[in-house]
Amino acid sequence: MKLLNKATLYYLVVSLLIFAAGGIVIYYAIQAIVKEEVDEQLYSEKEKVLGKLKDNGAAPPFLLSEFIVVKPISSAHKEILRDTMIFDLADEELLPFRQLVFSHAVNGEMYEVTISKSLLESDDLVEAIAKAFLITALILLVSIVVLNRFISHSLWCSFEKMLADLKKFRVQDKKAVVPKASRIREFDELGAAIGQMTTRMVNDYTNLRQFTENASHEMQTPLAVIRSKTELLIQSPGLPEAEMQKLQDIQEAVRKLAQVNRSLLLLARIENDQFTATLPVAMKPLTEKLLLNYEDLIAEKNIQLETSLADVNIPIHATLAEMLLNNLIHNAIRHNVNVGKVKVLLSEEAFIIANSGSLFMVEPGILFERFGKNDAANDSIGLGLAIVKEICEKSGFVVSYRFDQNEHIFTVKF
Amino acid sequence: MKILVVEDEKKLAESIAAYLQQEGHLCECAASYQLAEDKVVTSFYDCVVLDVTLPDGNGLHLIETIKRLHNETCIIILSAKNSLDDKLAGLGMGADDYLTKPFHLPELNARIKSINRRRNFQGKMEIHINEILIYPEDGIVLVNGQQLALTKKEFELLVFMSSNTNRVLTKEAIAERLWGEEMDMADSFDFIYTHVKNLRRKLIEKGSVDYIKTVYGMGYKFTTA
Repeated sequence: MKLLNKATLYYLVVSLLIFAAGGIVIYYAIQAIVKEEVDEQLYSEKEKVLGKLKDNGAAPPFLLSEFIVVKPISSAHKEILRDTMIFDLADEELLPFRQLVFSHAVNGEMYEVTISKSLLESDDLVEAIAKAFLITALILLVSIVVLNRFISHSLWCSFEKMLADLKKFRVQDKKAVVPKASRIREFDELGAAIGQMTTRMVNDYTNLRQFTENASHEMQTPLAVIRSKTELLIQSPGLPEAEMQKLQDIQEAVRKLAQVNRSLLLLARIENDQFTATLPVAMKPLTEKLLLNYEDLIAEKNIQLETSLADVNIPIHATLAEMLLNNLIHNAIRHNVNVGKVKVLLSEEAFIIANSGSLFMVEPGILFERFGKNDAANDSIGLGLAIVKEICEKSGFVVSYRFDQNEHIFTVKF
Repeated sequence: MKILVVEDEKKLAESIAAYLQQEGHLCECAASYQLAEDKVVTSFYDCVVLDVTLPDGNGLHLIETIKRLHNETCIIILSAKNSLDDKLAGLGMGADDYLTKPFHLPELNARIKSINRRRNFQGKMEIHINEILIYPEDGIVLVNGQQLALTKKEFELLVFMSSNTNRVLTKEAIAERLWGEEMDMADSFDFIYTHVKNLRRKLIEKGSVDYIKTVYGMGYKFTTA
């Protein structure tokens, strides 16, 4: 639930409770006031009746009016003030009345006088007040909701903006979040903290990338020294086989290290945006050229190659295009079974490559991670697909993997 | 040939010089931009092997100086960066080739020879080893005057080997030459065996001496001596 809705709900609940309590208090207060007023009127009526009885001196009529009834009684009794219901002939229903009953002696005869006063008018009054009260309450509640909406739009907008910026934030973009001043202290403090945090993240990330790139660069020359020295050693005449074997092991290790290094360097350089597309790359001849490079491997594994290549030009850096396709093709051939199939489909929308194979043991998501290998014993270094993913991200392509009918299918949507 | 190796890492420069000297070249080394500039200004070199990242300057600027003074000097760039932009910039400025560290010495040697063949306009476009005559630009091989039918890979292999005669060529160096550095080497080692076997058979069939020798299963040697 939104913070504001929650706050509004609390406001509404509390307001309703206060209104209910206030309503009850007001209801009883008005009732009390009305009753007092009616009682006063009854007493003043009583004075008038007593006056009339004295003036006439004669036996009083038994009915002075509809609401003042005089009837003879045997003995005097105490004055009674009570609420009662009287059946109204006109309305044909019981209506609330206030009655004052007292006895009075006229010319030695005892009479009982009953004065009734309708409470209907006072009920109307209570009703009118209640209505007014209710309307006020309703207006207040509606205005609370409207006000909160307004507050949400005006006060919280800087917060929402900040949140949107933060959601969009990717450390790879190397752009720290810079919140605008909101003139609200809490938000400005939050904004400043976010700004600092993201700036630090971007700096750390850039430093780390730079470090990877520099480290890889620095390694190239020592690797070249090792390689050249072993190559010179190998040329030494009369070297025993055992020594040759050791030199070969060194050469192999250097090769592997150089390969890892080259891949890491490439990843760092892609991340550092050192490749910007200049001219669109013709993908068809590139794919054909790369496939040709693997003809030995394809023949060796008896792989059946099916291609459907359209003439497509894609705006991407030439090196990246070659890396992308080469890694995918290499992957499809290398991880193929004997007498398997490789299908390559190139269209305006996508580059799709499928190869036969059994289900991978690892999560498909890990395939695109660095050093995420399906088979730990495998000779590959596990950077090929990480490079594919990185190239796709930088070029705005979407790469996906699925396993369908014993085929590994990689799709790059342009 | 007189070759200048401009490389700030002395041990690497020594290796390069040692390998090239064994080929009969005259090699000099320069460990800084300043030293290299002094050398190219005062004397002529047939070839300059140039590291672009020097402690006191960008090796690319040296290309201009070299080209201005001796246009016929061939230049091979060595770089730790493997960046296409560097490569294009270097080649655009007049460099002839580009190698990324760590490279194989036989590869460097083959590249120097190849450039030299192309730049040398005195009609020495071919490689001549006894009964074998190779035209690298045209993809033609003659053995005792008879043309040899080779596949593209076999031909590349022959050119590479004949550029590094009497040297042990490791499978790594051969694989990188034939398939490029992106190819997974483990896969290609078996194919090298196949290609070498076929090349050998074809050469012998045309009456050539069996020049190609296996070296302890680690590589091959094209022996002419």
